[in-house]
Amino acid sequence: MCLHINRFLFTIFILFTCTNVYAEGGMIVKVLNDDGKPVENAVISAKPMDGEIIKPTTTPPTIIDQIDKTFIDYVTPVIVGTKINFPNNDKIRHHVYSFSPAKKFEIPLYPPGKEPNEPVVFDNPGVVVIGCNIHDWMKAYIYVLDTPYFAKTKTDGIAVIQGVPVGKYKVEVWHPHLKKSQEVMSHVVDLVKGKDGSVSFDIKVVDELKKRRAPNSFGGDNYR
Amino acid sequence: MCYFRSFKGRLVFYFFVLVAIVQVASFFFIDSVSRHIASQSIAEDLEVGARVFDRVMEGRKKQLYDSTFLLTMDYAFKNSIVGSDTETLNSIVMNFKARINADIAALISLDNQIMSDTLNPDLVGKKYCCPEFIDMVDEYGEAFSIVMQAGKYYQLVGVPILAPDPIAWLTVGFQINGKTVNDLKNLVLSNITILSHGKDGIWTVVASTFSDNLFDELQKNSNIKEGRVQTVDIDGEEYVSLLKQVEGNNDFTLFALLQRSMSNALKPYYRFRMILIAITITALLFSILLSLWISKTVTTPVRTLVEGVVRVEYGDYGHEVNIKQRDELGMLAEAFNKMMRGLEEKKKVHDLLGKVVSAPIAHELLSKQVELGGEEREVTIIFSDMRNFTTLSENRSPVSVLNLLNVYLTQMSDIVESYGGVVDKYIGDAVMALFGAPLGHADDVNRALYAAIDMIKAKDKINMDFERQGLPKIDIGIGINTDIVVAGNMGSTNRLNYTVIGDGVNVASRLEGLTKEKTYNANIIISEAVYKKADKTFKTRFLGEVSIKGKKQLVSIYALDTFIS
Repeated sequence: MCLHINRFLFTIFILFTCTNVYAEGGMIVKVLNDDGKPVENAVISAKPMDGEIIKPTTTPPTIIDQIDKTFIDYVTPVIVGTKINFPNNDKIRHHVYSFSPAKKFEIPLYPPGKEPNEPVVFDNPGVVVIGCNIHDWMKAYIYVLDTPYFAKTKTDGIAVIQGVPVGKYKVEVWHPHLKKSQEVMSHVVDLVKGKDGSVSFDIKVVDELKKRRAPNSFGGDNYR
Repeated sequence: MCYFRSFKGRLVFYFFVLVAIVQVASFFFIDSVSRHIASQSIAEDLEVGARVFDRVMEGRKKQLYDSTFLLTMDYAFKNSIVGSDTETLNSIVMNFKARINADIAALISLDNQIMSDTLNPDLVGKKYCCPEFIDMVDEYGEAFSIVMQAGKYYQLVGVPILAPDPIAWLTVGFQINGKTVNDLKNLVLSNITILSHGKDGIWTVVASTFSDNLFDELQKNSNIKEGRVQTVDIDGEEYVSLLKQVEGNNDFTLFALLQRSMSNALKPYYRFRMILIAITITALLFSILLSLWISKTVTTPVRTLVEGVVRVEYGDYGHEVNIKQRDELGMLAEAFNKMMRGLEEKKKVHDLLGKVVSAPIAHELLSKQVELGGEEREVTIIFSDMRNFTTLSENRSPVSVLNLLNVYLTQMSDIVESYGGVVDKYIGDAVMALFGAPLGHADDVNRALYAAIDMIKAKDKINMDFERQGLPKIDIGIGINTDIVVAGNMGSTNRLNYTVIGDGVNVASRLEGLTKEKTYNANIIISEAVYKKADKTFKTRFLGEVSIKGKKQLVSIYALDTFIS
């Protein structure tokens, strides 16, 4: 029932907002979970099936902030080659690291109010999980993509990929809590001139494995 | 059934038996209840022990988990895992195992490949045995299991190595051995045996706090049911046992057998029982003393009363029983004393009456309601009279005369009474005696005649005494008649005496008067009626017929000689 209501609202949303607004096409993606509820922080990416990827000449630098011992944003999709900085907006030091094969790096303890001298360049596609060595519960995901066409769902489970040239695309969805048994979900979307493409995904996500948050903090759950 | 000759003995016996029954019944009841409570307490203790065992096992798991988890949070450890060679990884895992005194440790990659294994390093690079265990770690962030590796049983914990998402899995295990159960034994205060029940149905002892020689005995005991407190015999000693499941997997299930020695557990009960026995014996001894005391308090007054009754039996009414009690016995003693006083008074009356009247008359008066009136009876009447009494009285004081008269009357009365007759009255020196009233005999006539003869003989003896004393001789005349007369109480309602009246009485008196006639030369004259009813052995002689005042016809009279033919 909930699923049907959400689909209905999504259709209404498309009718009012997506009538070939852009020169290139746009893709509106809706991501729901098993219960029909919108899924936030799902990364939607589109790869052209009949042409080369035109990567942008420059990639704007991105930041992942640290506020109140929490990485912000939790999920950050970027294109390969993006430089990300990790400013420290807490009153304490942080030690950012990643052991992910896509990008293994470490920014040892650095003082609050500053950011490292050099941003980290994410030059390999894949998922990079970052953490803080002294705050076990701090965790964030950087999804490094080799396509410029991507977007992240908001709390309403909707993501809009803009500026997508006309053509056929393989649209994929990724989420940090995607169930292991879940096969990679993709849809082929044919984006025609004068009309935005739309697609929806029903994915299975699991609860996040979290560490205990230290006392006098907030937002942390007990480790299951 | 025991019979006692003494009331005291019976009282002591019954009281003791009663107390003994109560005491013994109480003993067995308390003993039974105490044993039941002791057994229940042992069972409850064992169940508490089982709960403690669970808690301790849970605590061990938590401790195992906490220690292991703490290791996985080491940044250098995480850093080493990524990209280190196998030797280095082995060294790291061995070091970590030593840090928490674990027995085994293994590092598993996210794709279930063994990266390091302290128990069997040759397995590195191979698939981990238990992917479902890793799945549980992945899903729940932790997993516990009992595993058997190289013939030994381990309590195993698996945790993810988070960086901050899982980058590998670490499993750490503690062996379940003698040390484990001995540590637990100190906490649950019971013997513990860890048993493995294989899917093939075979029980194996994994570890036990029992000595080795009990292993076989224990393994023979395959009847122990899970979750129920029961008593089993091991090598001749009873053990309260509780079997509970610890953990299981597809291949086997581990059970913990908690056991307490029944004799050890019942020691407090046995101590209590000894005290109970001592109390019971003391109470029994005390009951004997108490029963002796009670019987004494009861039988002493009873004995005193018995003594009083015995005295009564012997005619001693003057002795009062002395019982100073306010109970029923005291009341009985008081009633007894009142009765004694009553009896004494009655005896005095009886004695006095006996002196005033003859004993049978006195008895007749006392035994029946005294009232005026009489009954017709056949009575033989004796009238005796002393002659020469005037001569005897001359020149003598009245007291001396009375004394002589009393001697004479006493002897006459004694003779009458010795033959069952009664002295109706004394009339001066004369005696009126009756045979047949108030008590009659079939031979009253004969009795009267014998009495009369004895009276004459007694007179002769008295005369012999008188002669020795220089006193003048006396002579007596006796008249005897038998007739139907009225016998009863006569006089007024306030003053009466038992006597007989009728013509027969007058005839006897007249006959006595005829003895004075010299011509008859007879001391005893009897009427014809007497003559006819008397035995023919009496020697009599016919004196003739005489006219007696008040009688129309002549009366035949006979003299009775004082000897019998």
